[in-house]
Amino acid sequence: MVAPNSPLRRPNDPPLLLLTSLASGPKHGYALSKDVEEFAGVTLSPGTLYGALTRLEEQGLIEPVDGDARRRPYRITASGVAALREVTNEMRRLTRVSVARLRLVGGVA
Amino acid sequence: MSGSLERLLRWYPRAWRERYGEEFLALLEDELAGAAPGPSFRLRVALSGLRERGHASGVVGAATAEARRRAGALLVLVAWAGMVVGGVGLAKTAEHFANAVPVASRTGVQLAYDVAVLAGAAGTFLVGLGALVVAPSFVRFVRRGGWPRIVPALRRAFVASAASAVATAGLAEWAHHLSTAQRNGGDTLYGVAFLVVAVLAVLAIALWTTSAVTTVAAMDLSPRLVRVEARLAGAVGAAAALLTASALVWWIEVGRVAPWFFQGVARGVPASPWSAPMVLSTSVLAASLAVALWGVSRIASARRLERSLGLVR
Repeated sequence: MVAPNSPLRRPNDPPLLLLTSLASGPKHGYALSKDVEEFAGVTLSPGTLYGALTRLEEQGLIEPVDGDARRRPYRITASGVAALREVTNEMRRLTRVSVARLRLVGGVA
Repeated sequence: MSGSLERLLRWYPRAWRERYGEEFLALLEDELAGAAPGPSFRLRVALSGLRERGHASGVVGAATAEARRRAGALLVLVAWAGMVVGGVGLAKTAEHFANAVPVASRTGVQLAYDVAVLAGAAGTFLVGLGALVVAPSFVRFVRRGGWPRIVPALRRAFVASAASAVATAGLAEWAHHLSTAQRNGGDTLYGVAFLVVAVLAVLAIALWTTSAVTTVAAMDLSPRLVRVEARLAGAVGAAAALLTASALVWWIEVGRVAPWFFQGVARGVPASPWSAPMVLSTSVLAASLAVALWGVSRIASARRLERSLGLVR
């Protein structure tokens, strides 16, 4: 686990975390919050979470699912899947380079 | 507790509340799990609400080029209201400064003051021009039934202005019966009354500015008109920068050649150039300039966005 005060934090961009969470199926706000906390160790405040949800919905990357209006679930759209794939590929490329260069200095990952 | 959480929602823009309010409330309830919201929880929600207002108005975050220009121009308008407050404070503090400055040093000090006055006049003229440019759109807005949407804001501004005018007239009448020394800190009651009048004037300016922002935000403006307003806002931003810079130069120069002026003591008596009214006036000018520069940068970002999309060269 990377130390909380490390200058090299893992990607913890709220929209990316929410898209990753929604990739495993529709969730409402609280379920999203708990899932992100579990898989990324990041606590999103309600304001940050809904700010990110708002931006993602505006960009058509997620959409609401019919159901309980008070605990409305969201699901990832096709555009959301494409956007998540693009970011993930980018991160994978970066990871490959990091791992290869770590080997050069004897710090095998 | 639900009522107190609902009150927290007021930090968010109305359209956002209508779309996300219910589910956001449910999330807040789930997060709190029956506990009362603490001060830091409230603060975080309030700040998120303000950020959402910024997004909704195009002041921050991703927005169309037109929304950025519009928000930038409105930010500059708000900044100019602050410049008026700071500028009036500066003018009041600088009253009769020439008498306190040695003749040999007067030219530079006077030049800095004159530049500040000219920048203030130029900015006010440009803001007035901006109002004239949107006047036909305003008439159309009123004819199409927009009047009821802006009446509450206008009514508040009018009441504050009337109260400010009555208080100013009363204070002026009172001042006629006082000596110069009494008017300049010798009479505590007069000092308090002066502060009340100043607060009323600031309130009136703030409410008129709010009315203008509310009105423009509700009006339909063509992209061409928004571009014209954005250019005028850029020029107002330049006037704000010049006004702030010349006010600072004036303060530094007077502080160097006649610091006694700021403490109201006799010529030649050693004194500090730091006076509360000057610190307050220049702080208001500097804060307003920061808002104006934010507005101008928002306008500039509209151009960058269009260029990145290949809409302009």
